[in-house]
Order: sequence, then C-alpha cells, then structure tokens
Amino acid sequence: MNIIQRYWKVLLAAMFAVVVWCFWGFKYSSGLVYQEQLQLFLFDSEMFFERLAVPGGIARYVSEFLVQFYNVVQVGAVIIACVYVLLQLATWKLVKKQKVSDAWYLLSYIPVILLWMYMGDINVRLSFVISMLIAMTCMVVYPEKSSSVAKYIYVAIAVPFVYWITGPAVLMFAIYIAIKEILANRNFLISAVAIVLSVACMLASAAFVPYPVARIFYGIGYNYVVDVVAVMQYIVMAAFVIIPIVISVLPEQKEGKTSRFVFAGVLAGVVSLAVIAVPANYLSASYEVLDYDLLVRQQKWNEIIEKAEKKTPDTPLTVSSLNLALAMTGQLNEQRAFQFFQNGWQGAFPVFNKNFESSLMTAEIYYQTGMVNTAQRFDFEAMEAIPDNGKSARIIKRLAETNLINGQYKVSLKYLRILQKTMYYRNWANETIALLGNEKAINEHPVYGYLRKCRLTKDFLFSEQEIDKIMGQLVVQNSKNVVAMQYLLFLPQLEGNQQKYLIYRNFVDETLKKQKNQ
Amino acid sequence: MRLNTLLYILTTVFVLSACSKSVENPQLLDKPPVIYPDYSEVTIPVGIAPMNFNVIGKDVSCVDVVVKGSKGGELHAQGDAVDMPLDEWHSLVEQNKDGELSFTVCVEKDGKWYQYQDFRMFVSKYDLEEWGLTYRRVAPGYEVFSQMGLYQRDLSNFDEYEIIQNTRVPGNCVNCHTSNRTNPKEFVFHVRGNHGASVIQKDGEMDILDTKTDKTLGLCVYPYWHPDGRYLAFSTNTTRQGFHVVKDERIEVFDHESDLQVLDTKTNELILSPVFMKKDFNETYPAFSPDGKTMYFCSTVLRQYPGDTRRVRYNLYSISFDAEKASFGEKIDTLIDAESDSMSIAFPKPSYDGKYIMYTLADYGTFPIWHKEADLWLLNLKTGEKRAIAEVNTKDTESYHNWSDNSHWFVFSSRRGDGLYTRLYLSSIDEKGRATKPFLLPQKNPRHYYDRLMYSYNVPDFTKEKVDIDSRMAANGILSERRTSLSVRQ
Repeated sequence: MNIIQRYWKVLLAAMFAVVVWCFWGFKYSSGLVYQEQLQLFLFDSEMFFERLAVPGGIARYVSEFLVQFYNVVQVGAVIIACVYVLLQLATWKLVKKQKVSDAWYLLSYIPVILLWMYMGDINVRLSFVISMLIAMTCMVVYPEKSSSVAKYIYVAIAVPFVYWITGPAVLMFAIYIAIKEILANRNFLISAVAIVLSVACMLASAAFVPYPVARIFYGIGYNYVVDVVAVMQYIVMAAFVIIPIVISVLPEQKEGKTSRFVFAGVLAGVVSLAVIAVPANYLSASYEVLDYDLLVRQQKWNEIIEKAEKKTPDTPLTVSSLNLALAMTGQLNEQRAFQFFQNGWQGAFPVFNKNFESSLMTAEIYYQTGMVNTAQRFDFEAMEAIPDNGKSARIIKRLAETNLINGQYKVSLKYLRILQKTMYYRNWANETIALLGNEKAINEHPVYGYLRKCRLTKDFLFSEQEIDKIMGQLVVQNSKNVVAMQYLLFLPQLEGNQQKYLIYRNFVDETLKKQKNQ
Repeated sequence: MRLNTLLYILTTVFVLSACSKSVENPQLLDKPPVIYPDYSEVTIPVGIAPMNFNVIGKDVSCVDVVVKGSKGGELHAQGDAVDMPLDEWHSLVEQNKDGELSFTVCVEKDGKWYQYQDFRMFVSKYDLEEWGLTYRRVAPGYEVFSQMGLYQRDLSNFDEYEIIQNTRVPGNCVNCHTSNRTNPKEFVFHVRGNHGASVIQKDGEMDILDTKTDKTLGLCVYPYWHPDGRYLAFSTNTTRQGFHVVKDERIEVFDHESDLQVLDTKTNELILSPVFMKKDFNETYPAFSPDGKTMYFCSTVLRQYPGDTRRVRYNLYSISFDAEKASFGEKIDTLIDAESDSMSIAFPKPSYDGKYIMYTLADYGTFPIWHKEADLWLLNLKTGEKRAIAEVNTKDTESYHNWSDNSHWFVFSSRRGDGLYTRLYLSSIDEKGRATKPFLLPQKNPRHYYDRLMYSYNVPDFTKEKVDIDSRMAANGILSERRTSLSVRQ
C-alpha cells in the first residue's frame, strides 16, 4: 500500500503508457506503417543539413529518425507511448512550479489526451509532437525565479534557438512566458519581448526559406497536409500552455474527503475524455483503408478475406484490395466475389486520382497482374503525391524492383544505393544489388522472373477505359497469368455485361485448352 | 541554402582532414582509373568549377591526385573523393588555356598505394563568357509533381541559388524559363496550376500576365525572346500525355492542338497570324534568328491521338518577321523535311552567331525527352548540311539544349547517366562545327551528389549574370489574384 501511495504517479504513467502502446501497437498499427512509408530517412550528412536549414528542421529530423522504427509497429508504439508520458510529465512539471495539490494531478493528462485525439488524423506528424516536447522542456527550465536580467538573456537566447529547433512551437514557449510573467510579476515588458521576438523570428525566417509565411506559422513539418490548416493543432498547442497555468491557480485541496472527491471527479472526467473523445477522432473508414494497405503490402491475402468476411469493404480502395486478395488466392469469380459488396471497375482498378494512398494501393494491383510499367507509374506518382514533397522508402524499394524487372539496372542501382543508407531497407538493398545484371538469377527469381514473363511486349498507350482488353493482352502474353485471367473474366461481370463475359470466357477456355495441349 | 552549403563545407573539411597521407612507392597499374564522372579527354573552359571526381573501385580508402598543366602549374588534392582547391584550380586552368591538364591518380587500398595511368583534360581556347546556368529541376515523373523549381548555378564554383521553387507557390508548377540571349535582365517563366501565370521581368520590373484569351487556344507555353527584347514568341499548346506499357518506354506527350503567337511586351498584345492558326497544322517551338528577321518553328499535320501517335512528325520551318511592323511574312520555308526521313524535330535553337540551328531529332512526336533514340543534330544554315552531333550523342536521350552567347559552348540534357534522371552536359564547338567530348556539370562530390539526387535537370540555359528575381515577391504576386490581361491583335 505504501509503495502504491508513494509511486502512484509512476504507476499511473506506466498504465497510461501501456494503454497507449496497445492502442498504437495493436488497434491502430496501420497508422504507424502509413507514417513510415511517407518518409525516407537517410543516414547521411545531407539529410541532416537539409533539415537544419529550415525552422523546425531539427525536431523533424529527430522525429523522422524515430519514425523509421515504425517499421516494427510495437517499437513505434513504444516510442509514441514514451513521448506521451514525457509530455504529461513536462505538463506536471510546469504545474508544480507552484504549490499545487495532487488532487488536480490527473488534469495534467488533458493536453496529452487532446494530442492523442488529434493524432487520429493520419496526417499529423511526429515532428509536431517532438517540437512540442522540446518547447515544453524549455518552458520547464525557464528561470522564473531569477532576476529580470537573467530572464531577458534567457528569452533572447532561447526564443531564436527554440524557433529554429522546433518551428512555430516557439509560440507556446513565448506565450507561456508572457502569461506567467503577467500573472506572477506583472512584467508586461518581458511578455511583449518574448512574443514579439518569436513572431519576428518567424517573419524574418520567411526571407531565407522558400515557403510562404502562412506555412511558416503553421509549421513546415507538422502535418502532411499543408494546404488546409488543422485548427486542432493550435488547440493542442494552446492546451499544453494554458492547462498547466490553469491547474496551478486552482484552489489547493488538503488531504481528506474533499480532496478524494475532487480526485475521483477529475479521474472520471479525464478517463471519460480519453475513452470518448480519442476513439471518436480515429475515423474507422480512414484506418480501414490503411489496414487493407498494410495487409496487401504484407501479402496476407487470407487475412484480407477474413477481414472482409467480418465487415464487407465498401470503398474502391478496400474493395479493390479484397478483389486482389481473391485473385491472388484464385477466388476472383462470380460466386465468391459477389458475396461481398462490389462497386464496379473502381473496385477492381481504382481510377488514378493523384493521391498518395490511392496510387500506392492501385500500383500493387497492377504489379500483381504483371503490368510492371503501369505499377511503376502509379508508384512514382504516389511518391510525387506525398503532400510534403518527401520521398518514400517503401516506394523507392518498389521502383528498384520494377526497374530491375524491366532491366533498367542503372536506375535500379541508384535506388538501391539510396536504400543502402537506410536502417531497415539496407539488407534488402545489399541483397538485391547482387541481382543486378544477373539475367539468370532474375529470370529464375520467383517474383521478378515470373513478372518478366507476364510483361507486355507489344506497345500501346495505357487506357483506364480498356483495362479488360489489357488483361486480355496479359493473358495472350502469358497464359499462366491466372491473376490477369481472373480479372479479365471478372470485369465484364462487374459491369453486368453478359455478352462480353461470354466472349472473354470463350477466349479463356480456348487459351486454357491450348495450354493443356502444349 | 547558404547555411546548408556552409555546414556541408565544414563537414567536408573535417572528412578531408581525416585523409592526409603521403603516397609512397605506389605500384604502377597499366590502366587508367575508372572515374565518375567520365572526365577523361573532355574539354573545359577557363573559369569552370573544379572538375572533381570519384574513383570507382572497391576498398579505396584514399585518393591522391596531382594535376599538371602542359603550360605549367600543378595542384594536389587528396581525400575519399577528389575535391580540388578552388583558387588553385582556377589559376591552373587559366594558365593552361588552349593547353591540357594531366591527372595522376593514386589510390590507397588496404594500406598499399596504386598509381593508374594518367588521363587528360583539354582546356579550350574559347572562353565561356557566362556567369552560370539556369535550369529547372523536377522529378522525372508522369502527371504529379512534388518539389520542383527554377535554379541557377554559378559555373565557377558549386553554388546554386533558387530563382523560384514551387514550395513558395504550393500545388503549382514553375517551368519554361528563358532569358534573352543569356541576358537575365529580360527573363520569363511560367506557372501552371490554380495560380497559373506568365511572369516577365524586364530591367527589374516584374509583370504577372494572364496569357489566356478567348481568341487563343490557352496559356502561352514555349517562349523565345526576340533579340530586341520587345517581343516574345510563344507557342500555345493543348497538351496531353499517354503512358507506354512496354519496358523501355514510359511517357508520350502530344499536342491535340497548338499555335504560335507573339507577345508585344510594350503593349501587352498578343499578335496572331493566320499563318499559325491553321486548324490542320500544329505549330510549336518558336525561335528567332539572332538578327530577329526570321522565326524558326516546328510544325506537323494534325493527327488523331493517341492512335496516330507514332505517325506524328514535325518538320522545321522558317518565316520572316518584321519587328517594326510586328508582322510575319506570307511565305513559309521548309528548312528540314524530317517527316520524309520518318523523323521528327523538336527544340530548334539557333546559335547566336547565326551559323547553326541545333535541334533534337527523334523517331516521332513532339516531346523527345522520353525518347531514348532522341539525339542532338546540327543544321549549318549556310550550307544546309545537317548532321547528328556524334561527339555528344549516346544511345540514351539527348534533348533540351541551349547556346552560350558567343556560340562556342552549348549545354544539353541527357539521360545517359542512368537512363532516367536527366543531367546537364557542356560541350564546346569550334569554327568548323566540331564538338568536343562533353562533361557532366561538376559537383563538389559528384558521385554522392548525383546518386542521391532524385530530380532531373531540364530546360538548361546559360546566363550572363545571376538572375536577379525576388522570389518571395514573385511568389506573393503569383499567389495574388493580380494579373495583367492581354489583348489580341490579328
């Protein structure tokens, strides 16, 4: 009992960490994988200097370093859990700068719960979180009780420093100092200095970095979506500044019944917030797409079908993933496929729409059918569609493969040499470099060799309106391409064109007959 | 960018300081070193940045290079990559103008030194007389583009500066920049996207134009300055793309329609001519002769797309232009009938001395940058002789090109490096029209730089001086709704 009384905050933090870990590691792990595949972290000096050259770049560099560990989702979940706990700890440290009753302790979880909620948006980047953590740390070490001179010196040094390290999270730091100084010392001057200096740094930096001022105030690397401002970002930032100050001015609760009631009330409130608000912001439709993408990437075809059997997918991306899984397991036919919701050709080959996730997932379908060039195009487009202009290790890996299959070894080598500078793709890159130029090894490779045999050799310009005919061409090219064969027969069924189906059926039967006779 | 450069230099200094050894008793090898880029036997101008290179080979821990000039002078460099001191390099090259440089390369492997056979570079007698290059850098993609921009590079060192990049105008594409005969005081570039415009800067005054009118096909596309600086010839194109399905081909670009028009920058009028507005023909890639009296352009019979894609072949034509009246002649001359050879011409660029037109020749189509067979050709305007510039062509794509003001140097883009990512090469041309072996645009650590770069260079041009554009102001103007509209004169 004494131990619990003595270490209850630590135990609470541990429990919180475990819940966060389970949340990200099991329930929403596809969100972590999504984030990892949106970046390319290279162990070289250029990358560091590129990041260092823009405000917030160091926080971004640190976060990108951490995000590469999301490749192992449990490790990624541990990282997020640790960062959350550190943020809560920093919040409480700010509170404890004044004498505050432990009865209010749980209120210090509110900012991090709001952050947790906000991170339901798949485009929120860890660099936003790391930036806030750095800003909070600087707030914690602000010498509140030192002389005015010391404070001015601290502000003059820390504001530009924090700005360059974190970006607009410096505003949290400045506003915190301003509020604290006004409340505690009525020192308006230092408050004004902190805020004006922060804003001045941001405006001045606009002259040196190639971004609009609005982007600088929003954070260059805080969110993958940069053309729409997420108001929640500012709410979370404000929460980390204002809530500690609010807690610190709450009335003191002496040990006793009232204190316990207050604690219980706060506990109920905070837990309710976490239980209700957090899941509400994790849109199941978005994460369902990411789940399917992850399963397709891992080629867990049976798991995809099992997942669909529990809840039938209904968007083009999820339905097309299911149909791919059915094709890969030889089940893409009228009897089986129509047990699930179908949404026409869109559910077989989603139309290209210049979006990262859509292009990436559609590329996988073309790759598996043997349309190597088209897969390469969709993958390239996906990488170019990464909203913050970044590159993707996952896609570079696939581009190395498509170029290798196509015999474009120099380009493949370029990509592989880049991947050699990563942590998680290095071994694969080293192994694949050994394949380059080795025609025999590539032709005998179970995937690359097979896809080489599937590729079209007669050129034409790709047309989304004629995918059925392209599937037919693939079957003509390689009659063992059962994936293309299934799609060929499935596409007319999707549009309810029985006449076309019969023609294609006849063609497939003839092809199979010829194949048998050979 | 500058901070980035500074930090990079500091790191390089640190790394280089780690490799400082004396070459003792090297074992002589009977072969030249394999170096990247292949700078052996290339011809360089005085004033070019150090021609740094990497020695390709396993287990090379240190590279030692001694460069000796045929007319005197010597420099020494050592490191894991060859990074020659800037000032010493410039002195050495200048001292050896119209001479040659001999490179002695030694490498250390497993504690032992090996010395390769020497290789040479030639220093041209022709000065470059340009400050640097301008170019666009963009990923060699299909329809979507991420970060891209127009940049300029000081050719005497490795400094690169932004002209404008699209991070300042999110979601937009910046392209087709050009200056007037390498003079950036007259400069134009386009912006495509929801803030589309043509930005023209003349003598420090920037104007942002909406070039779409109800009497023309659409926005202005491929530009070329008239030498007097008042007029700009443009094509206007309705462009589409198609995507190949076989392994060695990627993209096809074709124009459903295209016309030519001339912008009078004094009156903001688009001058149209019925000659260029025929429905059965597509005209594109205008270029004025250096005296301004002739305009060259490419044209083809209108075809059906995408079915006829492989039958689309452009010829090279010329027409007279009267700058005083701002009018075209009535007679069009055929300079090259490429169609009869089953070939197609793009990017005609007259040399500024009036002797040649350099162009890109491909099997078909209007956009040869995706055609592996695309090569650079030279038309001698005096004799009418045309020839492939075998000295610079490869089996891979050679496409965009431009001349230096003195017409003794040209820059061009090529995919020869890896087949996809376009890089810039420079070559010299003598009085007889013979070109020298081209050299890849030098970088501080070329292998590292080009290996890592995920962007292509295109639309290169020389620039006599640094382009002075306030990119922030330009971006603000582009993002605003403020546009100068054009009227039409027929």
